[in-house]
Amino acid sequence: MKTPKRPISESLSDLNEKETIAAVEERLELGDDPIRIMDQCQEGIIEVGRRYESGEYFISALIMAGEIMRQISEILLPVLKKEITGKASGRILLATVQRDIHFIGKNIFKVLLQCTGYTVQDAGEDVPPEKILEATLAFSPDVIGLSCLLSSCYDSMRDTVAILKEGTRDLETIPRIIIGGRVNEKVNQYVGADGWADDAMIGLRLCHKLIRR
Amino acid sequence: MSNPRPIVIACPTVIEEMQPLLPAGFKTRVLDFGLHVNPDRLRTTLQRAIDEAAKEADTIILGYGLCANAVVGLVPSNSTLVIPRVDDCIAIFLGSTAAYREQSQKVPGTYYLTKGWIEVGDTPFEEHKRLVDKYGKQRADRMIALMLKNYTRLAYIDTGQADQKGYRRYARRTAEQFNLRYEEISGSRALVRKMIHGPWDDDFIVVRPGQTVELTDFSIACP
Repeated sequence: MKTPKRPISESLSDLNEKETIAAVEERLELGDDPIRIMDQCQEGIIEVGRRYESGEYFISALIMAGEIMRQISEILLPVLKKEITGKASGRILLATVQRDIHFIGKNIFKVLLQCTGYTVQDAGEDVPPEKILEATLAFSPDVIGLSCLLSSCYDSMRDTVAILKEGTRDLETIPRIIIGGRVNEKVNQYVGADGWADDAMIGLRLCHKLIRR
Repeated sequence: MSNPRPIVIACPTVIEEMQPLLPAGFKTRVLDFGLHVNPDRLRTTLQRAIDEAAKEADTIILGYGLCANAVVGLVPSNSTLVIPRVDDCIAIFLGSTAAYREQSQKVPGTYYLTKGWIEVGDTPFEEHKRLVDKYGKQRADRMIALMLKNYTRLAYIDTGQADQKGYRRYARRTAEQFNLRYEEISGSRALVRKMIHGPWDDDFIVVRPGQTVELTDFSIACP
């Protein structure tokens, strides 16, 4: 068996887009387990986060890592779908709240959710509460994930939660609302959501917990 | 202790705006701009700086806003802490939370620049240069294009600093390079002046010794 030049986690953490994508394709062709490939990608993403926090990387590196992960998910999802049948399932709606245009955390979270078997709809960024409610009523999610990086948009998130709770209270299955980004328990209490995560993996575990009911 | 003159602890971009208005003899402590990346580390560093400053002054003025919750949980042990009731320094440069809200409602995808930001090198232009050095132009262009995907405007905030010509030129050039609409918007020194000279009214959170800064302290600015 031909051995790839270096681990995917390394080329991803070095943000080498072409090398990483080529390595993922090669590993799949060689019959490697897609879940193992995904695990290595996650290791790479964690390393990118570490380098960002140490000052070695800047914002653009996080965005680039998210973009590489998006492409990897496009390659892995069709294969993973066969593997994950019968595992996690549920519907999750994601959106960055009105007046906030950031997307990197949301997009990485989306990839993780999809690769774990969830059906995800992404309503985009800077989305007004009414639009998120509209998407909720049309998509019937089990969980709504609201993203917000700017503290100036906590009120936007609070308004969105209030509108969603009011607009979904008569539904047979009331979706749970979680928040992500630069948030913590205090922000969670402030906006009135059902849970929070400041890390994609924590968010994933939260979705497992909420959807298992 | 018992020193009537407050000590200022600020980030480099805010101190840039405070310096021209600071009376002689005002002590300042400037923290590393890079701390913003990690709010927990910023909080720890701020708490340490507050504890140090408390040995010399009865009042400490923070040149920070809520800053991704970095100030939530701070406790001035035996001094009074004064914090502008703003989300971040953009509101400080624009003079009020209301002015910041107005701008962000008008164009959410705005990249703001001031003289101070340009000086600390926190601009897409500088980031692009670093990326070109590291990865080459093609990858650098792609990374910056992704980073600015949802941005449509670059706004240079005129904070009334002397000799801003070069900074304006820099901001305009940055906007052109990254296909952003360039705009100059008027800042205000009103909040910076009040930070230094008072009155510390509803635009400020005044934290008494032993009290903790709470997230809800900032909510009055966001009705």
